[in-house]
Amino acid sequence: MKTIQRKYSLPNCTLFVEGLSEPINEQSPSVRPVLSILVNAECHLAGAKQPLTGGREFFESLVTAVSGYAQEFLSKVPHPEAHRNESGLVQLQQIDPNRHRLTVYSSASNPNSEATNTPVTIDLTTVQLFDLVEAVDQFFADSQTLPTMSLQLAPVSKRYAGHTPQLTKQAVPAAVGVSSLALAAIAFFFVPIPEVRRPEEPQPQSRSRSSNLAAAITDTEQIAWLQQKLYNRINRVWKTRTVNHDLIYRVSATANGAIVGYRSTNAIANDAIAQTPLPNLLVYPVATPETAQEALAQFRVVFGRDGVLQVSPWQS
Amino acid sequence: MNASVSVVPIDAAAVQSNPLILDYLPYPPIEEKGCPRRTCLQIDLILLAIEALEIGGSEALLDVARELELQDIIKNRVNLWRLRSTNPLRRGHTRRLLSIVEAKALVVIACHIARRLTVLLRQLLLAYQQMRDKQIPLEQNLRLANYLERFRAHFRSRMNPRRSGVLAYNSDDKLNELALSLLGQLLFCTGTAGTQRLWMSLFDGEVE
Repeated sequence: MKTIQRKYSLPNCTLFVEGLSEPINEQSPSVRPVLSILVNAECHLAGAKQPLTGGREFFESLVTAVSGYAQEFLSKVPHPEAHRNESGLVQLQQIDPNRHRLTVYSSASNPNSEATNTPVTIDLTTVQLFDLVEAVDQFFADSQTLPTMSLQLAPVSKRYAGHTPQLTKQAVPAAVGVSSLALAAIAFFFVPIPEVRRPEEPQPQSRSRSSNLAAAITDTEQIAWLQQKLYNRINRVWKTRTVNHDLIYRVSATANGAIVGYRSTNAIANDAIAQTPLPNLLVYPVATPETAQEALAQFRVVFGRDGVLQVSPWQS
Repeated sequence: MNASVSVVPIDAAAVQSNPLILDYLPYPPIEEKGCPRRTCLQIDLILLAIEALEIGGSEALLDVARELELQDIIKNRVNLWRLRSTNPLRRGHTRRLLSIVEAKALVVIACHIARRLTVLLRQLLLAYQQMRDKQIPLEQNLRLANYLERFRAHFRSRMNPRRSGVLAYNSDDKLNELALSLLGQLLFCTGTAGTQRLWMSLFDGEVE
């Protein structure tokens, strides 16, 4: 293990990622070792008094929010990842056509953070915002730094586009003949969104081999989001789309979309696991008492004979 | 030079080839064969902004199409015009669909040109920021004023003024606002993942 630092530098933003490398691989003595465990991240922004710093939680939140907001900036459709959800420490919002407010909340789990708990806000111009997005994209593109994190893009679903209360505000500047969007917004406004909540039956936890049972994610919205995320992740890396049979797996994902387990549903699927990208996408959770309790969602993932990927919530 | 006109319908031929450069843009999860309205509109506006930035912009689009070996999809001026007429606000709007492959080609070309214009884009956005902060009218900056004027002229000459979407831009100020917001979007196209980002954003709110 040795400490490595990576730097992504743009005129208005410099991103430092510091972490540990894996034990050096004898077979391929690569010049640039893989930084696989993040220790600390720093984001220096022009115009900010001090750099934003934090650990993995902060960094993941930062790159997710920045990436999501970049999409929102391009499409003017509110992006759920740009705005703070329960776990997000970072959020971005537009305050002016050319000003974007970055807000960083201090981590609750980090006792070192200031006791006052006041969020840090930094206002960025569009050019400064772009430099931040570009630093993040260069990090994503760097396969030697935290290779498990890469750029995941997916269009925002109609449901989200209609949900956010900001929509009316957003629709005005976007109105660009985005009259169609505006119409959709009006339609969504009047039509009550049907609650598609499945009966909350006990999840098939009993089949899980693990002794400490993980809680199930039951929020339908979160499941839909995860479903989309999972689909995009697998679809992106599934290159050899020739399989002789439909391969069906039950895949467990954590709330942030990491695949922590999969199980084949029959012998054919079991034998053909190497033809799917699942083994490569598997993330081994660090075995600490907190992570053992992480809530999971189960999905049915089908690698179709016709080369089409299907992801749907697992129903026992 | 062969003066005879090909009678092969443009649509049929366009679907045949699928150059590698387009492969890294994923197919959006939409069911329809063609692109949604907003996608067509947005692509055309991005191209319009490029034309306002670069003298001879529409010729540059065809040059880049050849450079990137996309000439099987974007064949000539007329073909390009037909693809862009899928924008519902255009005067010559047709009901023809913009196929996903055609949309990808236009996006790849737009981002390629945007990358060449990186310095100019940054300068214009910086100037805009400074003028705004000091509350100086934008017309005082020559380059910015040129861009805005050209954009307004292009927009007015090509869009159908009777369309409600166009009526929303009935003043110079509103058109300037649109032109400046497109400038920001073009800057985002210049980045490492700019092409993928623009491509995906075109389907925001259009998928289930």
